[in-house]
Amino acid sequence: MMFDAIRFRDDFPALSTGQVYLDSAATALKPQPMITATSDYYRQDTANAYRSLYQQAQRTTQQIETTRQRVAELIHATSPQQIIWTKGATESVNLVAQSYARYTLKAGDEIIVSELEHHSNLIPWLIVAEQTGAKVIKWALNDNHQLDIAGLKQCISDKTQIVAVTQMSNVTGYQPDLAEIVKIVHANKAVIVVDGAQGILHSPIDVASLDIDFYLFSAHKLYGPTGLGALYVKADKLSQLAVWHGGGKMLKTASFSGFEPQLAPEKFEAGTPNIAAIIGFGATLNWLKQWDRLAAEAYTLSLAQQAEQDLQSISGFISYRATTSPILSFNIEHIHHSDMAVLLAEQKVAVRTGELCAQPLMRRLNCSGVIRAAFAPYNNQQDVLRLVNAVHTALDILR
Amino acid sequence: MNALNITEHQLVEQFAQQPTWQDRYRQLIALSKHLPPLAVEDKNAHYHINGCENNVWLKVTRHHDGRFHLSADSDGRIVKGLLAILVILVDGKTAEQITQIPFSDIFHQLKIDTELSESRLVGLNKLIEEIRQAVAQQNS
Repeated sequence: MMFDAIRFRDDFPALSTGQVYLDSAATALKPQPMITATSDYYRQDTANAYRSLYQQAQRTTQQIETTRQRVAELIHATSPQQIIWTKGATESVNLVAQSYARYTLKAGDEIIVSELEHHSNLIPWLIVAEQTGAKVIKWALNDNHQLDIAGLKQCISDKTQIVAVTQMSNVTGYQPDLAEIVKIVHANKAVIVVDGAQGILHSPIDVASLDIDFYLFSAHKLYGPTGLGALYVKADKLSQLAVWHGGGKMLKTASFSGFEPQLAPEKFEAGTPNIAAIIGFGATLNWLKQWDRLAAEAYTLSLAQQAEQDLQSISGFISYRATTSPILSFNIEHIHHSDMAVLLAEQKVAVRTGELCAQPLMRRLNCSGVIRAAFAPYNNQQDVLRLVNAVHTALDILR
Repeated sequence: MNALNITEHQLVEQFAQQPTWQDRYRQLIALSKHLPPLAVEDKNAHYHINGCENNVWLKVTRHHDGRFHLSADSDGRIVKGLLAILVILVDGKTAEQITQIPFSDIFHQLKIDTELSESRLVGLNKLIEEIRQAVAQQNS
């Protein structure tokens, strides 16, 4: 199946504004079917789920479960019961930290966190370490800014209970070798938590065959709505998770002397879920099925590569891009990243700048911040050209 | 006269002559180069302004004659250019004169208020507020 980039791009109304959108690592744009489904829910189908018997209410419940099923299929989970709805990737990590780690960690235990991580896959571990007396250990990058297996072997021990690692860095776009990592983690009787926030857009994952214990992502980074995330939990870990938020619909029976929780996933989904977002995301996932995602990714990579190549001619250009990354983070010597960002914004080129919620990685890369152009399959050659021209115009002003 | 030896009138004239947004930014960068750098020992936490995308240092001192001296620095050139404008407007004035500076009118005349995004305008207003507070504190 060929990837029809023009047809793909046409599905994103936000691109009609004429802006060059290169901030897809922060949030991906939304395709028309998602927007329509969300608006239809609010316009004509509004109802709560899991509660009432009238048609819209029943349909809403049905749509939520269909979307759960689609998420399970997307990441190759064996059962939709292993998918828990959350507010986003951040809340998912916090759920694992507070419902699993908090009850399994003892003083002196260790949590290994890679140096690549976004703050959302570091701070929840620091919090639970503080609560339990466990320690957070850094899995440092090697000289090529990669996570090598030797480095993991150096820090893993019988004290290690949890290893937290990203599927794809939000700064360099580097993707660690998850299959190898999982083998070592499991051989040491620890569990693996994989942050899919970046990876979900670019690399289809198979959580079952990789034997991942916890996998999580945000819907908005995969052409979906904001305020929705998913947490996948391997079956044997699901029963070990303690209750999280208390409230409506997470329980079977309740009285003033106590309550009996529901089974997973409902046990972790107290209160009215983000129905509109789940329905919108269901439409996104249905729309996504028609595209050859591997071909789309190859196309995206070619754009990032082209941009890197074209910017290479600028003296002082520093690229932090991993070899097969759709994300191009860069700096130009003696130019402050925020000066560049201001002047790119003037030219309607949307990029992200700063520490990108990864302060430890910034220290490792020896910079105070970067300029990040994050490509997606709706970008095109024209976007690359406008980025490159805009950088030259900015330099012309700044130098 | 202020530390840049440019009057407010000259400043407005310089910017009025710039036909495009690129030229106005060039003018801002040129101004940044005229801003005397802050002494290394003054680039400390005491003078550092929190919450900016760039590192910004602001030092406000009161002379015995009641006039204030403003020195400032940043690691970003655009912000440094904006700081240079603030120095031109504030440096060498008394507390009363400083409270009367019509900052937003002047930024409008310079045509940079349309150029700067909302978040940077907020940042600029924050810097003005910091200056006003420092002046009020030292004058009391």
